[in-house]
Amino acid sequence: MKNFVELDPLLHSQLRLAIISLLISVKEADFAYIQEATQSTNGNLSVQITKLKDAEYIEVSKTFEKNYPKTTCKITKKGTKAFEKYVSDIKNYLSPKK
Amino acid sequence: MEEKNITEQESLAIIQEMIGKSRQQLVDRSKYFFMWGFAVLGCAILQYVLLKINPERHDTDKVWVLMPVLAVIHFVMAFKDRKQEKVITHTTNATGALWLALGIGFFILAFLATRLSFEILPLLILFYGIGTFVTGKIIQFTPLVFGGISCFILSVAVTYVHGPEQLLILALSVTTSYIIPGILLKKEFRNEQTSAA
Repeated sequence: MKNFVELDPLLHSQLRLAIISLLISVKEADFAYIQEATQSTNGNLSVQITKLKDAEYIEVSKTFEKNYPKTTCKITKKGTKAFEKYVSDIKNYLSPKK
Repeated sequence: MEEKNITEQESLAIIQEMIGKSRQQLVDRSKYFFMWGFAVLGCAILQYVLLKINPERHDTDKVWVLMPVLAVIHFVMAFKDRKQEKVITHTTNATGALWLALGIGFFILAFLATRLSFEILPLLILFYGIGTFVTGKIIQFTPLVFGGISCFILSVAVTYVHGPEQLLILALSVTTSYIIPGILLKKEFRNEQTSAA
């Protein structure tokens, strides 16, 4: 019988997983792009980005472009490792026969 | 998308969907190919015409003074593009780094050619070829790969040609590696935009 490890609760949530999955495949992305890709609301996305940032899974930088604030997100090494572990754990859940 | 717990199957579906979205991100960089392609083509033809009118003229190299000016314009345009981009993919980053290295390489090559007195054209065309071939492979765009291959051939061919006619080979190389792939890239980008809309 295989031992199931607990899935990372920070990643095992719809929106946070979507953010990390998006950021794993790009160098960096801005808030508007993530919002468009994840079809999320402004407030909810801000909350989830803050949670990921506090866990040091992503880096967030704020700049100004044409007098408008621009928030850019980038996955960290810790975030990449957490994502890789999450994917590996998910695989264990989905192929439990071994 | 909401904040809620999910099943393992849903997790995989989300990961797949998001990675797919970022892959669809095609960035139109054809303007840089046009800018350099037409500038080099224009300079090469102008120098060729000047040499044909007066073969004794020794100041025709001055037409290339446009290149450093263009490099500055390119740098400013690229900087603005970067600031406006909503997302920077690994592909954009890799091709950007490649062309930055080649851009620096072009100027070092020009400097070395002056210092060591060697023929710059074959190496210049070879550099064009490396840039377009690798970019074509990275962004999976075959016309750029063929453009690169044409430059590899032309970089050798130019050594068999002498005098002002070498400039025509240079003009041909930028046409096959920058201008034609640039036109096709623009077309591809427009098609992608239309189908995405």
